[in-house]
Amino acid sequence: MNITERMLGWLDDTVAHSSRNLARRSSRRRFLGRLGAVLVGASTLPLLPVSRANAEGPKELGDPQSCDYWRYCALGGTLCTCCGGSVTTCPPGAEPSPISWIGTCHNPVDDKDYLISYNDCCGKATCNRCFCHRSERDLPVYSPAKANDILWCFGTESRSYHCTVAIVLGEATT
Amino acid sequence: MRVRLWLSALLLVPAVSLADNRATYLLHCGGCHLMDGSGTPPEVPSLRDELGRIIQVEGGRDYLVRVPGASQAPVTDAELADIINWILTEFNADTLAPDFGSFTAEEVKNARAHTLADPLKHREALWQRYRTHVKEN
Amino acid sequence: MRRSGWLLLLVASTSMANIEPETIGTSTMAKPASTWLMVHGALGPAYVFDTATGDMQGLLSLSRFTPAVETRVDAGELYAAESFYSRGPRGERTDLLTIYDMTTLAPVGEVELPQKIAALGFLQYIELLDDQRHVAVYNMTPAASVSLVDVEDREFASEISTPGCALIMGTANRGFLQICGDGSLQLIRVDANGDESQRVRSRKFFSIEDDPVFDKPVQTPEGWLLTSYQGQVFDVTVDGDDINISEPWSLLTDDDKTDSWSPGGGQFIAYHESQDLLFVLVNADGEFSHDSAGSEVWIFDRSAERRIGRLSLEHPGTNLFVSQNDAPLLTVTGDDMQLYVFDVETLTLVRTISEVGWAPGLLQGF
Repeated sequence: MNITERMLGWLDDTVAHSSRNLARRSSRRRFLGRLGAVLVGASTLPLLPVSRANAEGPKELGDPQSCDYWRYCALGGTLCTCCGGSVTTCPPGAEPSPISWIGTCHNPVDDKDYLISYNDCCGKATCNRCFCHRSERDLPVYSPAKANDILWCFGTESRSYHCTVAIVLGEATT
Repeated sequence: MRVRLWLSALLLVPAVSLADNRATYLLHCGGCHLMDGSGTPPEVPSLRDELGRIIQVEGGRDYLVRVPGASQAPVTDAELADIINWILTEFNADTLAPDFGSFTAEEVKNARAHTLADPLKHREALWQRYRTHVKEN
Repeated sequence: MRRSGWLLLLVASTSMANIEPETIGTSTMAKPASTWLMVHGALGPAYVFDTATGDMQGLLSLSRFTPAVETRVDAGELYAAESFYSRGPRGERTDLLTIYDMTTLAPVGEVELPQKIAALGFLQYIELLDDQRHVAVYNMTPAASVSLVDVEDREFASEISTPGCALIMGTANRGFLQICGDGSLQLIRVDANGDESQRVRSRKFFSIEDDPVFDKPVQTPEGWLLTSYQGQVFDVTVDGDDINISEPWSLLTDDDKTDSWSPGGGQFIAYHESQDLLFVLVNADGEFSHDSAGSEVWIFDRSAERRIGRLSLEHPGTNLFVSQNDAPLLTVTGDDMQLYVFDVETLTLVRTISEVGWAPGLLQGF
């Protein structure tokens, strides 16, 4: 399936979902805002080829509050997006750990691999909502740089684990 | 996805972009040593500024390869040579000797073959020599 | 009530025995039997159950950073590496090796440790050495080291730097093994004072990129047993200064591999010593499923290197525990947070234990 077909298939699903869930989640609202430009021309899309090079569409797709989100391919922990934070920010009062474990996830939208930094947010009781345990390329604890079973609150005032974010550091070059 | 770096045996300078080396550094080292190499001393050493001088001391070059964080990284000898060279030129340009010779895959392979079982003890001895070197120069 | 009714009641009460007024007391915990286990909660408390009856025996209240303990049944003590903050989730940090009494489950002593205890949910992050005197605790800052404590004299002994290697698996002569990220094992011995006296590395026996060994070793009478992501089993023994690693046998046949079966779960492997049986949680979820719950438990005859039984789980399992008695009971933590206890000989469910803590983790015997 090429990217056009994938995007169209997704669009059919999401247009149906978005109207139901619009009121529920601000993350979807933000996300749909970005999608607005594409939706306007939705009825003409099947006739026009969608070129990756000049796509004004979203750079990422999916629900950042779901374990299936593409960035979470190696995330072991609770999602900060469900706890008052976002994909790139810790919830109020939680301290971002400077030390993290870095993995590689594949973004189906642009068909590229990205370096993802899984930083823990620390110093508060564990939020424990939206717990995920995905283990792409996760290694045991004797390879600490590649182990997601370790609590990564290092270099913080407190090691109390609150939740985990997923920051894109850049492309993982091939 | 593995980073594939192609190292020409004849050239001392790797024939890959800086962007690739930076990505490899981030993936295997940056999580602990941070994006700018400053680490969080004393638990995580800094990779900045001093390494250029350390490799001028006996055992210094060898140590950079054999320290477990480097030697145990899931990368090939050529990739490890590239990362070390990148760290030296990117974070330690000021202390690199003018006649600095880049690490090669061969040098890395030989050093990596000798497991450093007690890095702390080894490091203490190296640091003695390093401090003497700094005083004398 | 009619007057006659009240009269009857008065007469009846004066002629029957009264319940004597009582005073409050405290139970003590009996000596643990082989069917007892601790269910370590994700945030500290360990629930003690007898899997033969399903009855709770007591609760060991531990720090939120303590996923497992060490036990010394003959001395009636438990050892816990604990980490506390002065204000709950924050504040001033204190790391301790706490000594608990096994009958009262109350602390009887503590030794302060370097503030480096690893926050890892693994049994082998703490180990009582064979001298029954030194407890070793694994540290991560993220640099790796091991703290040694003398629990008889209740004193901190030493910190041993162990970069690149993890976990603590006790061996003879005050030693312990670690698994290292270059595919080898490391043996460290300490002297009577708890100071490092020897350090040896084994040959490299696994490839971290092709088939890493799990960080979940199993103790055997001869030494330790390691399994890999793809089901290879290695037996490790220590003979003087030599670390011997056997050639592997496979938990998986070619057909199993075609069907994508592989070990998976949290505490996915358990061993019964006298019957030499291995119990392994497996799933058919394919690549990167080593942390996913197991849909079946496979039972292996270890010396025959052969699977002899299969148990399908209604609730996919995450952790396993097998009691060491002659009629073993296999306990599986289901994905619904309940414990499912099976009779091993018949592979039938004999009881379910519920309300085992809101986030049950490691299962540990005494």
